[in-house]
Amino acid sequence: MDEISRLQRRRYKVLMLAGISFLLWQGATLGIDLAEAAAWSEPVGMFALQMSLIAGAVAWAGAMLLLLIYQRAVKRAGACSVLQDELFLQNRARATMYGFAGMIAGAALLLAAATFIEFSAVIAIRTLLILGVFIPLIAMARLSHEPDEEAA
Amino acid sequence: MSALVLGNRLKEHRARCGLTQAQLAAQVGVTRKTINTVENRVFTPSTLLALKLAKTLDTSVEEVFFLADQSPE
Repeated sequence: MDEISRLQRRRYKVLMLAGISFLLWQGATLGIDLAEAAAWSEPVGMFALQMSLIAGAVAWAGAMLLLLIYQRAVKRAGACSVLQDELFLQNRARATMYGFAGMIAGAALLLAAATFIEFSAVIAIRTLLILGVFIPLIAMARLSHEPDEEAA
Repeated sequence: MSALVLGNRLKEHRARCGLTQAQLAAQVGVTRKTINTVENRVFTPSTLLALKLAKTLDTSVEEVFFLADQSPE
């Protein structure tokens, strides 16, 4: 496997880790917000949410560190232009569009839900933030994932 | 009704030159996935990339890329 393929696989792993850890971190925070709003204080459930929050936050920090290390590796290999070729740019635009569509759909659902239940602006903003960060990260990882087999 | 899409003979020309996808990608300055998706008609390359591919394969753009009929499914 050449250096470019190795860097592509590394980028896929970092993006997946970043997306999943952000969902875990902010999803757990959202869960705690919802539990507090509903005056729900079941100890085991709250403990699980708090542990998820801590694990997610630590994993997110780790993902950001890995992203910095990855960027240094790309610079060292002089592979910036190859790794950001026109397919990458198209995939990035598509991933951003998926995130935007997810946020619009989320906003519409929150608006519809607001007619039946009351929730704080923080809950709504956090939900949109999760959609706006998680969807593009995972979409970008999936779209730029290197196929295993090479056609001869 | 049929629609015209961009077809290509990239795989044939690449094989003629004895290049793998990775070797062609390295010569053109893109990733192997880009070459793979162009060959499989998943990704439509820019004019610049099409010209680079043709030049690397020592042929003309028209030899590599052409308009093809896409029958309705």
